[in-house]
Amino acid sequence: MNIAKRLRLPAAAAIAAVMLAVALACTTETVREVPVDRVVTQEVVKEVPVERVVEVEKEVVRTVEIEKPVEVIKEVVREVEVPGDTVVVEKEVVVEVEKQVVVTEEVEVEKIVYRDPRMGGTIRVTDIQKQHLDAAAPGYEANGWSNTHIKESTFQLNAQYDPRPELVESWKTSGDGLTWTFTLRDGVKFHNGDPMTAADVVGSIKRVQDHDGMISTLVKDHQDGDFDGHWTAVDRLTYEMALEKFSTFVLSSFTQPTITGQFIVPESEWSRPVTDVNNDAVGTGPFKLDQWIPGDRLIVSRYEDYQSPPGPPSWQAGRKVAFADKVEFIVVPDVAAQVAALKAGQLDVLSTPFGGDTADQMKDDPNIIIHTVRFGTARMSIWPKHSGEIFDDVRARQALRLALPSERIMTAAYGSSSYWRTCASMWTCDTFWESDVDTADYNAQDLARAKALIEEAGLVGAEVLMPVRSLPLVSDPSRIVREVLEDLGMVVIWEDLDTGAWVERVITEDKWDLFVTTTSGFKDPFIGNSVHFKKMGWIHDYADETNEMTENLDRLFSENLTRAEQKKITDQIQSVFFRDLPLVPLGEGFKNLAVRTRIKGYIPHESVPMYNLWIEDDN
Amino acid sequence: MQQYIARRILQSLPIIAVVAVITFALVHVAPGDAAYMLFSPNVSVEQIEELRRSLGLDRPMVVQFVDWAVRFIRGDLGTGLLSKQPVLDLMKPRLEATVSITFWGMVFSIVMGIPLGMVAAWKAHGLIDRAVMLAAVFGLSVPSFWLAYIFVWAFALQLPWFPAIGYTPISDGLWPWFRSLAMPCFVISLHTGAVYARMTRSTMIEVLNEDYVRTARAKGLAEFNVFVRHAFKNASIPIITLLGFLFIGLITGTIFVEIVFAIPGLGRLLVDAVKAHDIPIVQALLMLTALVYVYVNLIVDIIYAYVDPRIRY
Repeated sequence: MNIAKRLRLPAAAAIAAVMLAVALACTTETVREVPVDRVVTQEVVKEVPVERVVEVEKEVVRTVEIEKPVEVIKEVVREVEVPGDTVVVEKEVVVEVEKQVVVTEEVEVEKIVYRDPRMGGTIRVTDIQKQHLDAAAPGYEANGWSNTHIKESTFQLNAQYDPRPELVESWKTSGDGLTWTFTLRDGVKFHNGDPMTAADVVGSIKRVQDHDGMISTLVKDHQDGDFDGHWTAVDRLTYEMALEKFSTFVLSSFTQPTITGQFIVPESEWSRPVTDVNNDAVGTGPFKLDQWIPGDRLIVSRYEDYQSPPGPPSWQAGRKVAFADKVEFIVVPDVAAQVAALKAGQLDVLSTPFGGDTADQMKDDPNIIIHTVRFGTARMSIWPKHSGEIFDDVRARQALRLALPSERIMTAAYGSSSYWRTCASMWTCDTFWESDVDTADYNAQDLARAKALIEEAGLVGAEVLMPVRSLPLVSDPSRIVREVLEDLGMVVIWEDLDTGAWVERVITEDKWDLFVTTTSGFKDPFIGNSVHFKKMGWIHDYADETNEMTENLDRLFSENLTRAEQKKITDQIQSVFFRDLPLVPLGEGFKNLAVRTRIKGYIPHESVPMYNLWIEDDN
Repeated sequence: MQQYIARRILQSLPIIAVVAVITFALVHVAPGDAAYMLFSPNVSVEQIEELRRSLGLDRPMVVQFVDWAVRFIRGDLGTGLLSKQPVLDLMKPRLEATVSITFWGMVFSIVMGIPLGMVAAWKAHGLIDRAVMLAAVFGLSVPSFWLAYIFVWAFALQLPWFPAIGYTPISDGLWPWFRSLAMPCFVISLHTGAVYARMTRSTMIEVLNEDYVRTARAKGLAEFNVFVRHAFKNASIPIITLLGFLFIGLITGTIFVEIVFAIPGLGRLLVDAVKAHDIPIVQALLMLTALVYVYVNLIVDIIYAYVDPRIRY
């Protein structure tokens, strides 16, 4: 009885509290009358001053290359050996006709009026899980997009993938193209108040030199691997870069083609060793870091002292305006939850990858616009190991190319055919570099010929180790590849693995033979993977036995050629590529983006920065 | 009692140690490690090996374990291998969300489960009993993640009563805090509430057949008093036992609601850390779980003695 008495009061209090909470939970009529997104919008309107019109000049630059015959007078010195060890030197003046390339730029200017852009509010956008915020540290590539709002580079790519100055104001090159002098914009300050100087640029690039694919190729192949001997901070705003060998990808090296960390950071970051990961995230960008909660969100707010680069905004280049007070990059691991939150107005933009099926779920929502971006595609490929006992034989790789059903595989990965395309070219389709050289056997689905090649190579019954990442994007296509391999008479040893375990497998010599993956493809020879292609052996030990690939890449990167000449070389590279098949291309997946209609200024591209966007209060 | 508590605390130490050894070994047995998570075409195998060295992952497992254990005993949970953030700092902001989900999950489970179980026992073998048990079977059988999607569709999209994702801290106000938790907690409590309902029903039916209940009825006591004062009080021991398991189940079982509702809790931190092979975070969270398990059971034992004076340690 005592116990019952003792229990009665707390029990009654607890029940009362619970009943009250339940009653509160059920009292939802007021909420029902005011939709959630409307409440958010009202907050925005209350908080923000309104800037009515911003006029932006959009500059379309067309580069025209004209080949002109030019007479060149050369003095040729000949050494002639004469019996009796006497060397006679003959001099001869020769007049040759060479081609000179004259590059002119046509500039077409049009005005874009941002109608009624609003300052203020918070844009909420999905982001993927970040391991850290240090642009120079390994693992940055997959995590870095949100950081592009905080940090800036010396150059940046515009929508046509041309490098445009960002922190640099002007630059000049010597006549032989070996000495580059860059002058920085004056008055640019880091978020910590320190002025940005030439020493910061040299220090930042030095810190990233081993990690960034393009910079490391530049230093290794064009500066004899000697960074310190080739980079000098001349004064506060001027720095010089010297090359030992001409390079065709100098400016694009300083951009962020694959969101690699070409950011300029203050001394507090660049003076640290790259293994000492720095999460301070101090840059010069239009937004500064407010808070990072690992695994949950990264919050940035407008940097009031921001000095924007001049020029028309074009993707990552040109003028940047932080219209929103804040941007929240939120990790929402579940795609269905992302869709629900976007529909409910809790998110404004889905920037993380989602498939065609998910896009289809949202296409009828009047408050959401779906963009399917057909450039900057993801190239799905099969990566065979060239040093193993199976795919070191080119006949095995050719058999894969002949047998694989590209459409079926791409459908498994991306859904409806609106979200992918087959692409026979090694270079990304719908680009200047796309080519039909030696593409005849692509997607042939000729199982008989493929089987004959496998039999000829004596690989019937061979055991193929196939590590597969547990991601539907690659695991579903991998299942079809497995079927094909088994149809060809091979035995597949399949392993489902998480990313860490998968990487451990594929960098270990005897733990894999083949895997399916996506990369950003080869959209431009002078950007990203194409430069990385030079060191293609990074994961699957591709040996360029005839040296044709290496020689052609050397010419492409080291000779001052016309676009037409470069195109001929890329065609030759493609020819070697399809003969050797360092990897077997399957198709190209498009990137889907979703944005609520209240977000204005959204111009779809392979990634869309959150600056130059503003929030309209109409939904 | 104090001696008993001290003894139980001492007994928990070997359990914690065993958990520590097993989890450390399991994480190491799994292929790959944190350094491999940072691999990309831009990073050479040599750089990865250098990173492994800088993270101390190339040392023998025993050395790594002893290093971790010494620091753990000193109260240092270490830093995340990849984020370089102190593990404690990573856990702090997430603890509130997980504890809040657990709290409201328990409240919903108890409020739904116990009264329904009592009603079912009161009307045992009748229509109400069958309806309650049918509901309980539904709660036990329906996958919670599916129910979560249905709830989001119904109560966040069709009727915008609750947010579809996210967690609002209690510092932003009690009502916003509760609104952000209502759906995930209701979903998570359906399963545990069903367990509670079935447990309460069977225990109550057993107790209601006891002689002292018949005596109470014969004395002319009101049925409510018979139920609450006589039957329920005596049926409460197994229910309290279940309460401990319920708490542990909820605090460790919030992972799926944290993912579906994008709530930054300890469950998601654990999943992310396991995926990234971030050993210090995994170890710290599993230690926390083991401690919760041990000490919640201890608290339940203490409550036994409080509720039933016949129980003495």
